[in-house]
Amino acid sequence: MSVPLGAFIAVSATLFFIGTAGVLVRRNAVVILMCVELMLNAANLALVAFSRRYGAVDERGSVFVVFVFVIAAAEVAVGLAIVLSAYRNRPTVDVDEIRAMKG
Amino acid sequence: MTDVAAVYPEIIVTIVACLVLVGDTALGRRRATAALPAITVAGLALAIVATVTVVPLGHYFRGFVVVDAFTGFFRAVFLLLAIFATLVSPEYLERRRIPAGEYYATICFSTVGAMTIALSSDLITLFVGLELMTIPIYVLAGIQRGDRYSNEAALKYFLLGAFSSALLLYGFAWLYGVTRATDFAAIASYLVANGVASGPTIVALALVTVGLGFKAAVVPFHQWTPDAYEGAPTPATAFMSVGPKAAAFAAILRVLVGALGPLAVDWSIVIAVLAAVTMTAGNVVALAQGNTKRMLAYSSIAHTGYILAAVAASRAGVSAGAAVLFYLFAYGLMNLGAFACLLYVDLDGTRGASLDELNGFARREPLGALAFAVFLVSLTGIPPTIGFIAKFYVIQPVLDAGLAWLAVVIALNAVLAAFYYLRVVVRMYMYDPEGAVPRLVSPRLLSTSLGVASAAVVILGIVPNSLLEWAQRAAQPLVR
Repeated sequence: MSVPLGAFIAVSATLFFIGTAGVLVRRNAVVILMCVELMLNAANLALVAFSRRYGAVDERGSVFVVFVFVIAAAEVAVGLAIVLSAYRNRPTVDVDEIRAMKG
Repeated sequence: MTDVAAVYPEIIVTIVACLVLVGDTALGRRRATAALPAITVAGLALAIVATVTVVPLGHYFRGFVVVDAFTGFFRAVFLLLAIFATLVSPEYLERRRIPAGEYYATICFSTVGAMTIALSSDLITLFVGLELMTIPIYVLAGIQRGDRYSNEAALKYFLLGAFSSALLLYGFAWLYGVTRATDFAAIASYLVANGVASGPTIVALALVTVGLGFKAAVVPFHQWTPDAYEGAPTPATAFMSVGPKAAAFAAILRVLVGALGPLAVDWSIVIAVLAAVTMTAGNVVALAQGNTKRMLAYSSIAHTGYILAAVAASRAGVSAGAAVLFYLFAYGLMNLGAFACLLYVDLDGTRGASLDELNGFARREPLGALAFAVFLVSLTGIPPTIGFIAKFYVIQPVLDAGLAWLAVVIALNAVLAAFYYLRVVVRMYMYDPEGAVPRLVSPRLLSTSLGVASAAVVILGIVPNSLLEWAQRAAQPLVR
């Protein structure tokens, strides 16, 4: 029994929209970061699904996913460090309160 | 073996970054302040030498990497900008107690990422390069950890940068799904063979355009730019405003023109409208700024618009690509220089420089003011500077591509921009200093490098031919 491509893409698109909506709506920097991760994983799911459909002749999609894992890990490491250093100076992670500069 | 030889310049810069990090701890604080910039500049210069004496042009690493004239041009530009950024920084870093080792290493790592974008011939390489370029820049923006403006700059840059990367990646995933390929040539040939753009292709195109638009600070995806540029330490801003921008345009050229070129009929009008909106919004908001650093941030958004206009004109052929490359070179030189001139007045307790602080600047710091005036005149686009030549070469392909209205918008914007650039020059030369004037330092290294850069701006404005020919050769691979 095999799951059709459309099902994977539907899940992936749903994840992507949840992530995008979260980034746009939520004000907590850490939650925004989590939503970005959701978007990256939506892309990963789409890449793997397409790669499986195209079969053994084209594994570039799966290769892409491995690179995205590494990049996402690096991004989280830097992102949490930035949130932490901002929190040390002013104990909040609300992006609406971190606005010393106008704009 | 030849595969590895193809990326020698990148390997050299990576090694330099690691050397700087090790040297920072091994040398001790006193010797490190003098040695680290020297190591960085020497290493980057060595990498420039390596770019001209490498392997034959062609594809390497099973088609993931391409070395062509385009790669060579951008490698040289990124390395030159990194050298310039390194030379203007040491005195400021010492004054503000910013950790020097991390600072130079971060610039080097980011440069490796930018160079990786230049040599990508595949979506995977391009995405890895883009992230390798931007993640160090987030660190650079927030490198002054105790300063809440720096924190805020880093946080805003990071959140929107990560968001845009995710949009871009989802676009890439769809592109792979539609075309069954990740390398640019295969994507382009699939699109040519299968004719009209389908729904999923348009979705992918839109996501890729928005993602890259964020990276290049195209209006309406520019909201992070003024805050990130204003809050970051000034030498970091100087580098952030040119290196990543040039890298973003390298990515735009590789993806939109290289891979998605067959869809140019679909995207060129969108890009043209975005270009017009970007340059107008950037200039109008810059007019209202009282802080010079923030004004230059909005001005850099306006310049994104001019460069994007040349991208929109890509159907004019090589001249459009050459205009983008030439403008990026000119913009890098003059914008990095203009931000670096603020280092004279950006002392303890000040952030950037209000316009009032620049009153009578010429009397206090004649050479610094002269360099600043040259950069501002060049940013305005007045001859005989490189900025004028760059604008001139942008307008030509825009007309050739049948976008006469866009050429008119560019010309009107140049007039609008003249007001706020020249206002600074007038204040520096014709006003008296007022109130308590902060004590100025006159750093030797900063003055020397700004002198060389401003001389280059004028000389290349008078004899631009060899640079232009180089840009034309570099734009050749984009045209199929």
